[in-house]
Amino acid sequence: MMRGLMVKDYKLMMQKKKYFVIFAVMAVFLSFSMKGSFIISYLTMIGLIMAISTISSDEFDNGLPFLMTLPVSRKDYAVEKVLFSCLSILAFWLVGGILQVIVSAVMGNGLDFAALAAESIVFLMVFLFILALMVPIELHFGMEKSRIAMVAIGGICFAIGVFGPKLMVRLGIDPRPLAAAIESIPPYVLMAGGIAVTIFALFLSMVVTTRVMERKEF
Amino acid sequence: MVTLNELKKEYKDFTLNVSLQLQPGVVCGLIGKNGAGKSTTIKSILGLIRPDGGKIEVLGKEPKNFTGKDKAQIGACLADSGFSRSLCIKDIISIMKSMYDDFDESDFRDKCKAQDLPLDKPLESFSTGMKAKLRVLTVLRPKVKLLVLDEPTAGLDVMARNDILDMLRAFMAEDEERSMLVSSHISSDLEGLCDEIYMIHDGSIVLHEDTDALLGKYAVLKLSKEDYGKIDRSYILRVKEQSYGYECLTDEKQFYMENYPSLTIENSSIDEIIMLMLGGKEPAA
Repeated sequence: MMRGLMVKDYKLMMQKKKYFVIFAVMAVFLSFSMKGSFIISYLTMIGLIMAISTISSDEFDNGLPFLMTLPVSRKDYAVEKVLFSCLSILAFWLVGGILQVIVSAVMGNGLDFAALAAESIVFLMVFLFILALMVPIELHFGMEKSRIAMVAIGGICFAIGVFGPKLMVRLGIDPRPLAAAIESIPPYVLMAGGIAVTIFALFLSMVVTTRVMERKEF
Repeated sequence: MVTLNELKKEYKDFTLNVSLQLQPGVVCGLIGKNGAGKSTTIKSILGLIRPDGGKIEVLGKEPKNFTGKDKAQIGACLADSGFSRSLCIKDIISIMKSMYDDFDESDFRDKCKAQDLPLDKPLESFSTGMKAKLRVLTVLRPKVKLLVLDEPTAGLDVMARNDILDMLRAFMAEDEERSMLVSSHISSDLEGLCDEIYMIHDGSIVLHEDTDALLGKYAVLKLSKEDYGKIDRSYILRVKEQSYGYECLTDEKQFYMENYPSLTIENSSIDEIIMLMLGGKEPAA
């Protein structure tokens, strides 16, 4: 019966299809003045936002209690939400990729497929990782509070990135060997590691989202 | 079908403690004023909230152990929750087809048409009555054994209320084993629909009776202070002081009619019974 939830989310997303067309047209126009894989990253991000917006639609007007009376378990709901969001991101990423290739061909730029593929896979993994974080946070905190939680997480990541190396120096640890060690790892190993981490994060997201849903009262 | 045995749910300023039983083939009404505990009881039955104590069994299972198949046998209709307002009925048809193997699309379309519900307009453009009718229509599926409806007619005009009650009566007539638990604060809706009625107040069941008995055996006695002092008060359930003397609720109308033929004895409506049960006092011995 998870298929029913998928159909629901698809129908909810289709309500916003005109926005998608606007975003896609904007992406194509902007890509003329941007280099690299702009359309792919931009549309993948839109896919993430569209997918997460189905959670807001479910929660809007107190809709979740009714959804929990449908023939699906709370676990089904959690797993479907993560799966549907992944599919949405993947679909937008693919459309972005196709548009990017078309735009590059129209502009007559020499297209480095290998570089574009590597770059776009990194974007895909990054957005899937963000998704893995967002789904349980959105369902645990609700529409309003989850924004604050995401800003807080972003702030913490930023602080770690900026102050982490400085703190290491203060503690007498030289961060340069660590940076050098990371740089020495072959790119394909880094890529494989990134994919593995993302898949694990998505699996963990399903587990945590299921816990969140099972603890919820409606 | 449904057994609640000392079901407890505690909130900061409210405690629910109810026992209730719903047999196969029975339509049971849960009546009480706003905030009495009707929705909490219904949410417990549907597994939407976790009880803090007591036993709860629905279709032979605890709601926390419900599978999708179990839930498909329950038609649940909540007062303030439904499909997203941005969807239209055509979208809902696609969802229902994927959700339920017993969903009859052509029958559903016919019923929507009969109720003047547009198929391609978003629900946000629907009136309160249209939304309520749609909520009820989506739960009327052939394999449903138990209907659980929370205030299905709240806020509706008489016509819309009657339409919904007619749909429910017709659905219940299709299968004698089917049961229904319906909550409402509109007693007239329940009078013509329910076989038995539970009255809930401040989280507790204060009265449980067959509807026929409520309407046949219960009566209101309008007594002067002098008459009140004279009569046998063994069968008086509640008393309320009035300008003329006392208004008394009894569940033995026949006793007072036979023994005190000169008294003013009026048949009581469910509203009057509620008013006296909740607003009256137990008679002094």
